[in-house]
Amino acid sequence: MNNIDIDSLSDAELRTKLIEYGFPIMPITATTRQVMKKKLSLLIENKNRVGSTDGRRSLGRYSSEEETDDEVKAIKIQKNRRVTMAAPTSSTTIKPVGKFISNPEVGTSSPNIESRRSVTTNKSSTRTSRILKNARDAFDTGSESESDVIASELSEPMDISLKYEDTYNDLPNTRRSTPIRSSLYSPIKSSDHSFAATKNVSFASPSSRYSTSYTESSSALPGSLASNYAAEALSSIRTRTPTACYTTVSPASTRSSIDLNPNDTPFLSNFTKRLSVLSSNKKTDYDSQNDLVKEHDTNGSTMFGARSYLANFRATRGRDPIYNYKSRGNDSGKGSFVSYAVLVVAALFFIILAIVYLGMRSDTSMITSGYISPICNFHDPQNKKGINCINEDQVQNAINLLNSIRPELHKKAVAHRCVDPTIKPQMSEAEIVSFCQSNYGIKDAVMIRNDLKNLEVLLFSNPGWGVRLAQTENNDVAVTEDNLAKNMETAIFNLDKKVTSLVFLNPDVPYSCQVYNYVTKALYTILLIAGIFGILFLLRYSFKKFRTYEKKQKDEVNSIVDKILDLLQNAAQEEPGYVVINHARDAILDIKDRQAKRKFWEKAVQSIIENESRVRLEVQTVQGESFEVWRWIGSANLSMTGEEIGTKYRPGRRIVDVDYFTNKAFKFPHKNCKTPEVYIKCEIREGCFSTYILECKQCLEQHTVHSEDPESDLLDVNLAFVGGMSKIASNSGLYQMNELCSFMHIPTISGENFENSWKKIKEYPETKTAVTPKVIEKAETTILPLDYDEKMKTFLQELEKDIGVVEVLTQDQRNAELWFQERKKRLTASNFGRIIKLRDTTNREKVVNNLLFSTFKGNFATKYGQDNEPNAIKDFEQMTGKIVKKSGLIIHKDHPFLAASPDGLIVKENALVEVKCPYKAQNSTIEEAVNKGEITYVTYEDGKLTLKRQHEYYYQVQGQLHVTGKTHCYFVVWTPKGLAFEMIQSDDDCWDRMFDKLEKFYFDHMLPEILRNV
Amino acid sequence: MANTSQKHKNFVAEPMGDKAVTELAGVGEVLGDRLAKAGFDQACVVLGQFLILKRNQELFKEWMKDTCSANSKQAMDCWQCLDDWCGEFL
Repeated sequence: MNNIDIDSLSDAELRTKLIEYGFPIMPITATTRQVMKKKLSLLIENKNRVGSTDGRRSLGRYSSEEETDDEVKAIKIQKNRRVTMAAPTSSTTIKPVGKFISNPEVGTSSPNIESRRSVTTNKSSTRTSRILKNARDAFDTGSESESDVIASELSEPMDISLKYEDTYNDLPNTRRSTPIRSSLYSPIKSSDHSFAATKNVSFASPSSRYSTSYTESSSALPGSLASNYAAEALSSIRTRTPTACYTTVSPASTRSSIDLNPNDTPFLSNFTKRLSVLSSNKKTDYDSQNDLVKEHDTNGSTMFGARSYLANFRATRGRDPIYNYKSRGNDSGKGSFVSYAVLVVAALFFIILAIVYLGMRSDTSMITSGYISPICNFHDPQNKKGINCINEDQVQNAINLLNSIRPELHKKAVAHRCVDPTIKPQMSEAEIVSFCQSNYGIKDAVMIRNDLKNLEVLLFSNPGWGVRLAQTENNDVAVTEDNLAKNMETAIFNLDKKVTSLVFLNPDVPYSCQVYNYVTKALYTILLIAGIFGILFLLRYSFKKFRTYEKKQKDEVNSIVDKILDLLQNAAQEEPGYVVINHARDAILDIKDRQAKRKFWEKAVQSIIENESRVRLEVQTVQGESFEVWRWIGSANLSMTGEEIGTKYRPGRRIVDVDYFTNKAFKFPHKNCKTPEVYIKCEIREGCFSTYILECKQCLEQHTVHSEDPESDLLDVNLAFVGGMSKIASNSGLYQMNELCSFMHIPTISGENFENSWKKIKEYPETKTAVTPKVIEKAETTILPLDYDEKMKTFLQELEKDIGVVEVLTQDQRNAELWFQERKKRLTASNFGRIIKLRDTTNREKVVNNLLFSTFKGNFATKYGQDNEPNAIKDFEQMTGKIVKKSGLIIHKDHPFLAASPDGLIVKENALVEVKCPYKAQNSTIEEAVNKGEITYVTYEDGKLTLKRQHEYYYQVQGQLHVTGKTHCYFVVWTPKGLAFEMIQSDDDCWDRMFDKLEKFYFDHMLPEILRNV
Repeated sequence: MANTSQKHKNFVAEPMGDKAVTELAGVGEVLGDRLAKAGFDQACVVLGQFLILKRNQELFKEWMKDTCSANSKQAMDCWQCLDDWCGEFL
């Protein structure tokens, strides 16, 4: 497997290969193929590395085994055993040819406990001793090699020796137990038929149930199969140091003895129980061993080898665990079924009980006994017959009457409750009498009435009957709780005025009726709740509607505001520059909508007046009438150049009311934006007064801030500035002001604005300002609004001034402030190359900005150049004998916009010097540097230096020559290790070509920018 | 990454639409040019590749290195950028 293979793989093959190496499936496309191939080769590499370590391990394993002669077939068992028996950490890689497998990794690395098992089957019994010896060797050396060999030849006598060696650090301890051990081993030698257990400490203790079971089994069936206590050994890691070595030898002659008899079963079950305590993976492992034992149990020794093999195989294939899970599942199912059944039966029982109980309740049963009858006692003065007591002989009659009318009362009450509330539940006295007469055929109404009276008395003393006495004004309505008579005395008192009746107030209504009542009640409740929710929902809905309506209105207003602003902006560019408010309305709103949208319009007007700082409300006379008008002041002519104003923010200083400005700026209305990034989107300048539109990059919200409070008591900044200027010097004006501003780097006031301010300041009431513009009268200057050409002219004239002075004053170059100032106004030779080489497509604006507003302060390389320039010049002077003098900024005599500052001028020669001290070449001679590519702008052949004619430096040199008017230039390249120079003659052709480009660049691009910022 | 570049923030802040490949963090003019030559002229195409590689950092970085000879940091930035974007918008 190598990379060549990978290259030739098809996509599908590549994918399968990757999957083979355990890499998740990825789409293999033209674009991913390369990456996947890399990944695959990486994987293969890794795999190979891992594979090689495996090989080493198995080799070691191979060499460590000594006594594996026979039993090739045992390998699989071996493997299974390994899986089942080995400590969890052991790796289970199998070497195909290995007959014997040890686990060096575990054996060497973990000195505490490992359970080792070695099953060795020998063809002859003499073999056993060797194994034992080997085992002893193992103790002695502490090596934990494991041998696991099983013979499959059934005809052969089998010596199965299952050996568990629990070896501990404590080897001396093991050795001390030699007597026991020898006693253990001796029976093996003598009879080839033994069961032996060795335990150094605790295994020997009689309290251990395992030892007991051992004893049992050994006594009952010596020489039967012995299993080991791996689990025991594992559990005793901390407390004990047992060395258990069980050897089972089953010779051919006593083959039957391998059969397990019942005595072994407790042992096995113990064993299994013990194992079940262990962790689950171990459990499955040991289960398989158990399985092995079972096989013994059923099939006997004849089949032992093959069967155990099978059993193990099966176990490792995981059937046993599956079976276990199944049976467990069945058990739980059964258990739950029983419990469910019990539950159901109980529930049924209670339900039936409830039904029976409810069915038994009935108040319509006859009342025969169990009532209280207040019998009149004539000796008691409290007793009043007919009021609180009755005669004894009349009690039975009254009860009889009650029993006869009771069902009727009940019926009526139920009917009242369930069927029709208009049916009266009560029976008046007259009704009772007629009821009795018609139903029972009793003629004597007086007797009935008498009985009724007695019954009424009885009713008061027996409220348990449920029948109550009620008295109502008339018999038209159903009685209620309120109508009940409190006692017999009031009843008799009201007898004449009211209708007395009997009523069953709380009858037991039938279930259907009860259910019906409940259902109707529930329905009512549900309806009520639904109604409440409905109302809530309606409220919410209407609130939402209201919100959207409000929003709509706002949007409408905003759109009108936008339209107004558009209109005003357009109007600002034409005469008269303002718009009458009503006209704006007419222009924006359709005549049809005008009335309907009046509200919006008013709101929009209000919002403009309140919130729009770029619009000024004025009163102007239009056609003889005064109107409120709007003037767009946002786009007032701010630029001196007369160009359309750019609202781009220009870096520089401003005159700002800091307190006001920061206050306003901090009130930026962010819209839930976590990381506000506010920047100045644009600036609208009106002289020194600026209006900034800030925008947050995150929430895109905008906010307008002025540089000072427009309603401040202070004098307007422009006025103040102009006034202040005029005060300083009587003849100062726009030019002086611009000069001041440019020095201060403050964007200045436009000519027009200046004039306005000038006029205003003259008329300004003195009292209100801090500035007294009195002097101004004297200082009236004729400032005209400058257009671009004039401005340019002035500027160029300015450039021509003092050429000589500048040169002298700037001889310190970088150390002279003036040098920077003057350079800013012109194109200098060091930039010529750059400008000449500009491509047509390059954005000139950027270049200009770079030239004018560069923040480049120099770096280590330029510093190196500056520091070494004097050295270079000194060396040059020594070399040539010429004298070099410093030079300032030299300005072209005819074209004052061009300038150059050569590194030096040669005295008494019409020449100049340009020195280059390349930083990169500071450790090389010129020749080395050129060869190494540290200097790229020159060629160096035979000690002769030549500047490349296409390089920017060449243009710089030519530029310097022509600006200064010299004839030749010494182009010096200096390193600390050497110096070389070339004498370059002035090249007029080259210059002509250059000049056009430079001039074009300067006037088309640079000058406007300069003028804009002056 | 505790700090992400402005470019990263900008990219992750909004759906990518048809942004150029150079809008991706870690991809400047040079890498953008190379990617465009390899057919990946828009950020969304790179996103496609990113998704094909199942947002796997290692593979995507490998691919970046292969396709436009990006260095580790650039590839990582780009991956981070796309991953964050996906976290936001996918």
